[in-house]
Amino acid sequence: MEQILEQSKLVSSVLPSQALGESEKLSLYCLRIPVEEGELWYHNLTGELLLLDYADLGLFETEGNLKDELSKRWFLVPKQHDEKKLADQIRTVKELLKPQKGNLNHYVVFTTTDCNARCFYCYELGRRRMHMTDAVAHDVAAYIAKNCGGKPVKILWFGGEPLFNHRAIDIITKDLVAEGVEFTSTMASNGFLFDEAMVKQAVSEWNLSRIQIALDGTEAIYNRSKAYIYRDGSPFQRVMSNIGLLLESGVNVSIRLNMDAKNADDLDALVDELAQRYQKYTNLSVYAVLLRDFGHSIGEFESWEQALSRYKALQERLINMRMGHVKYLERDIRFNQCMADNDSTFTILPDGRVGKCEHESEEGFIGSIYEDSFDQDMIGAWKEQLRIPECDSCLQYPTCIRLKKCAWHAHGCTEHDRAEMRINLTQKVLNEYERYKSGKVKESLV
Amino acid sequence: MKLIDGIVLTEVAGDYVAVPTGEASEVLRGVVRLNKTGKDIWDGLAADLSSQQVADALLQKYDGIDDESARSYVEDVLDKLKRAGLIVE
Repeated sequence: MEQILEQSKLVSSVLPSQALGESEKLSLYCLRIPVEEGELWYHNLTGELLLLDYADLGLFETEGNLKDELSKRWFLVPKQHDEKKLADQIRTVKELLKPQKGNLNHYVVFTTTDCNARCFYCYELGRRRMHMTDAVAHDVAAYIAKNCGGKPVKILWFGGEPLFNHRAIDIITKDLVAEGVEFTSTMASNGFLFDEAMVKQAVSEWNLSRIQIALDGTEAIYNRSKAYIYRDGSPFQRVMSNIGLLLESGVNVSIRLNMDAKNADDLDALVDELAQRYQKYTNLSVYAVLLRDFGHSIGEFESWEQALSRYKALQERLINMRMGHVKYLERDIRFNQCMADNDSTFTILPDGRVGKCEHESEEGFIGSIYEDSFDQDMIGAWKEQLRIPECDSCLQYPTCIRLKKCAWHAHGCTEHDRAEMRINLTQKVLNEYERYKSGKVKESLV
Repeated sequence: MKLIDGIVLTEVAGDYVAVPTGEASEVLRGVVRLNKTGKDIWDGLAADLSSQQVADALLQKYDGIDDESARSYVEDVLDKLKRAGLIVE
């Protein structure tokens, strides 16, 4: 037995070794992954990762020392052991350790809810379109300056398409500089409206460090999917060129590939094109997302299994081509699912209303930048967690936070959600193992 | 001698963990783990008992320990809590 990762810091400080007794079953939270050398055993509550070779695997149920070691580390537990209760106890400690409310330092600013594209899958289709006025932009900057407590601020420019009203970004960033507020910004954009001058401005004035751009396929499919309001030229070529400008300027570019049944094959061709053009850039990362609506349908895939299989294959291909973002296990305490249950992050809408979710631009607001206090009941509602009977026997329970008000979680949690989470967790464990092995190789070469 | 405010004692796997919240998290960055006997001592402190009174309570609750052992154990736990900054005079 070889330890790849030790228990997480929190767990090792609060959880005693299990008393040795009659351990009769494998822990519910143990994920077993076959590898060439045997099996990886990852404990999703304690965070410990072990490698058991084939000899160990033949012995763990019977061999005293090995069985004791696995019991002490909570991989083997008594039949009557209430694992969910233990997970809840650890969660309670995590909750108690959550940092108290402090300054408001993270903002998602909607410069507009309008957009220059008409993507068929956009969840904002049909919503009211409004631009942030100059007056409100100045007020937003003043609000941020007043509430940041002198600490650095992070802003995510959002929309609609945030560049569709880049004037608001100009105003807010200039005012923040004048107020002496230290800030960095990121952006979720279709990338169309950039040009050389705007990229330079984004870096030097907006302090843009990272941008996420979504691509739906190669040229024909992309242009059809996005359905931009412009009639001339190829938006795909313009966006690809802008991606190059952003990469060259040092901005971290994260490309999101929206996958459904119709474009799954084409995304492979797109990945080839991205590799040909941009593989040399270390500030590029590409990842796939299964396109689904809030109703959680998988569209025209024949089955969830097929959808997950295509998704997994594309993610693996991206990692093999060194464009994928290699994800590792979270080793620190995770307090929040997202901004909705994070007390230091808020959205600001074009009219100054303040909210808790970047997917929600029409309701669920907690106040505005023109009010002195927020609606605490609504803040509490955003934090409410979703629990279903399946949680009692789910591998993911120790680390899963699903929020009742979240549009993406409103359907509950299906076996397909759990299958997708298992795929992602398995990949992270394998990535950790690869990192461990390459570390050992380096040591042996020294 | 008393416990500082803002410490929450919660059970984990049959033992107990003292978790600092609010301003107490500035004093103790982390947690303190206590077994069942440590919890009894904690409860005594929370009830404003003196260290001798806490030791007497342990003697009454547990068989097989003498007065000296009980006082020594109480002192050990108090020392641990003091070093963690969780007790003020």
